[in-house]
Amino acid sequence: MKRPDRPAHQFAIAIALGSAAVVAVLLFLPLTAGSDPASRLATAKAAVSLADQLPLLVGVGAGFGLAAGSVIGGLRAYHQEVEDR
Amino acid sequence: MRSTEGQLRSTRSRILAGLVACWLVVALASGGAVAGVAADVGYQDADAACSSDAATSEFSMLLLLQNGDVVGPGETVELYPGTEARVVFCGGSGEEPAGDAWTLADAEELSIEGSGEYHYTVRTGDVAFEGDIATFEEQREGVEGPTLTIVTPQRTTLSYLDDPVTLRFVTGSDNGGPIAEELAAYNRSLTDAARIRTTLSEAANSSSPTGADGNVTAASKTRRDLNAAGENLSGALFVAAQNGTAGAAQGFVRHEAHHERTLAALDASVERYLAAAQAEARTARLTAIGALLGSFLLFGAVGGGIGQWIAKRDLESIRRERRRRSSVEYGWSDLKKAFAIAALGVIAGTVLSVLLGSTLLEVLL
Repeated sequence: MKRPDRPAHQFAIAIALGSAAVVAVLLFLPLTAGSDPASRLATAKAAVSLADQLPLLVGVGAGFGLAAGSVIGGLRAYHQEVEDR
Repeated sequence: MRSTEGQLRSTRSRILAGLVACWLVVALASGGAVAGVAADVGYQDADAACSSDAATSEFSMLLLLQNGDVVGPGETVELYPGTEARVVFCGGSGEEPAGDAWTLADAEELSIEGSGEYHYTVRTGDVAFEGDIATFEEQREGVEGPTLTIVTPQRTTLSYLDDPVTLRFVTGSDNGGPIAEELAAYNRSLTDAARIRTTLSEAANSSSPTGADGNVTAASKTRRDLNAAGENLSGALFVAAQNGTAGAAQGFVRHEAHHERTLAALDASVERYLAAAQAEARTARLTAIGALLGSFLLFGAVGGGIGQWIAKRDLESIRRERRRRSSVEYGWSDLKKAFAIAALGVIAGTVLSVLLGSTLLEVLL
């Protein structure tokens, strides 16, 4: 028996939340953090510098959030419409 | 890598320390140093001394040194004030009894400390002197002896040590002494290291360690310079100890221990500063994550509502159209308005990411 397909907006939600989680992990644990004192300090300074630009960070989150949300919302509406048909 | 370097240095230090142990014993035990002589192996017998090549004339007065050297007529020896030695007299048939066949005068330059059957034990005085020791013999004529020079030593103190050590040496071509250059360089490096440590400590204790003047690159350079200067001074002390410079062996051992501690203290200062900077960075990262994810979820919810509302409106019009014309079908193009809003959001997010510049990439990667 064929398993019914999951609605597209559920995949979209999973992809959006997964991407957000990956970005959060990368922000907390850099991939290529060096072990020598100079690069450790440079990475620390970059993190502090990033946190100093909160408005831009909020803007980035808002932009991509709006994009993901509108796609998910559209797909959900489409799914409901097709189901109701 | 630093730990491996430390182990190698430690092993090498132990070997070097072991090698100079014999000189250390000599230097501590004898108090005074004999120029050009390092090891204390004890006095030679009067009999053996008189049978040696040092007894060059029929009536030879010999100076026996604690290191086993025998100095005879025609030779010159330089001794520091306070150096102990023995004087023996060799007649035609060998050593002759002290105080009987010959007598040594007690003088300021060469004071008599005691005597044995065939020798006098003497100690050099704290006066400038250069002359034949045979002049101190009172009974015999035609006696020849070695030339004795009493030299006043220069002193250099390793004052940076917790328990300072003073080296005594004779000024020669190197007026500053055998370790002058190396000691000056090491003292300069110690000053630099102390300054760096103070700077790092202040930076670590400041409210924003990453914004403070904590230059770890300068600290690395200072460590390299300090290590090189310390190694050079160790080498100079080792050679000086080998050459019999009083205090050099003890100075070498204490310098090695002090040098290790100084490097470790500098490393610890750098680590403390980096730990403080990384703690500040951790807080900053959490703030950035909170701002990014918070706005993403919030605007995601808003975008979801808007997207669904717009799409629903368009899809309802399609549904109405389908009631009139059965050929009308649903398709992804019905969501073009929601996708357009998404495209605008992606463009806005991308532009703002670019404005964040390399900072974001540096933190992410």
